[in-house]
Amino acid sequence: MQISTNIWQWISVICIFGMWSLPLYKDNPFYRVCQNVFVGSCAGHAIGIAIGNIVNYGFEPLFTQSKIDLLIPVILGLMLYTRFFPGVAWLSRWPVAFLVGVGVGQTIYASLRSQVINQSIAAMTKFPQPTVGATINGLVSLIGLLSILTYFLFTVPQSGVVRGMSELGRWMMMVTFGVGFGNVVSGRLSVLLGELLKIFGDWLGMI
Amino acid sequence: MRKEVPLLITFVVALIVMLSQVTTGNIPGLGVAMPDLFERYISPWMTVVSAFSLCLASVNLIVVHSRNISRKQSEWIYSLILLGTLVIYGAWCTYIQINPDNTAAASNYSLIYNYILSPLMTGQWACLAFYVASASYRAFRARNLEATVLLASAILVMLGATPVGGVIWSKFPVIQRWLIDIPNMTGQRALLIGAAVGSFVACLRTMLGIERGHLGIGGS
Repeated sequence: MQISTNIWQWISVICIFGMWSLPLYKDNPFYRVCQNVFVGSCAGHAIGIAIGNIVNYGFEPLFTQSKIDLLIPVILGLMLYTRFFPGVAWLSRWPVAFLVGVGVGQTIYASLRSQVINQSIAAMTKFPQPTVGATINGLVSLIGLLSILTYFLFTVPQSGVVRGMSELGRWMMMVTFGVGFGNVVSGRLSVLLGELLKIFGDWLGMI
Repeated sequence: MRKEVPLLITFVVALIVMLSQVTTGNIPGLGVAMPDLFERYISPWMTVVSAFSLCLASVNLIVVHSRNISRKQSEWIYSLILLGTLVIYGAWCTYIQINPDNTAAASNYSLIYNYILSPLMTGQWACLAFYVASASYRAFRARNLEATVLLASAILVMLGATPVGGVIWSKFPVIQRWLIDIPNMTGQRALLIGAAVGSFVACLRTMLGIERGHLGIGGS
């Protein structure tokens, strides 16, 4: 065992223990300090990137390349802050409207193209497949998809065949949620193992 | 003016962005194509306005915590720590963003990023592993057949993902792969299609001004 003499390794491990002190012990001042340092550093980093973007993509081309059109987003951006002045707070709706407009325009196309159309195309399977296994997989995919979509069909009374399909859809969703949960647990544990590796390897030199 | 202009901005911008993805020809009378309009104007404008909006969120954070400190409210010391860290990281990151040629400042910043911010972030994520363990206990109490299906598929996936699963039975990784590729993919696909239809409708309502909650004007 050879403990690291690198000050940064020590700081790093202190930060990790600070965060872990909440689940391993209880809410305590050490955790609260780490938590606030975490929030402050994340926010500070985000501010830095944002100001960098404003300067590099806003002010610099505006003043050095005389791109006058960039005055519009700068003014719109400044209008966001009018919400701190009640008399003119309504002006902050304009930049919000712009941001929402861009998001809406992108989502309308993307949701139809990449999700509804592309996913529907991917769900279409040719029968029979070359092997029995592949045919069964194709059937599971097709029937599973239709049954889950039937579960979300609220315009048709849930009785008879529709009810049966809907129940099957619920079962399929349970499998999906189970797989999702299993993946989340595995993912979190692998992050935890990475941290343990850092503690026992980089810091304590035991691995 | 107060209501109509924002609605008009949303409609026009959304229309330009939407059409820029499906049209290629020039707009009659303007001599410019929609994709060019998006590339040249909307996209860079979006970068700048969204950067301003991010700063607005930070201004709110600063206002709230400054108030805590000035009024010496309980636990104001934590607000002081938060603001201090925010100022250090904010100033340093801004400096290296504006002066990309200063490599010494950038490499020093990467130290406080890699050895303070990054461990805090991964430490927080790893914390969730502890909570997931207790959540698993509650979720995995198989109270009915559907919960049992959820439990079984989660256990099979976890066993397949870990080396010990393969040692116990060599088929666990195969079952895990099948569960992920076939039933899980099918479920994800169906949920994606359902969510996409919902988001399409919500976006259309917003674009047409039926949904106005984002502007604080209220519903239709």
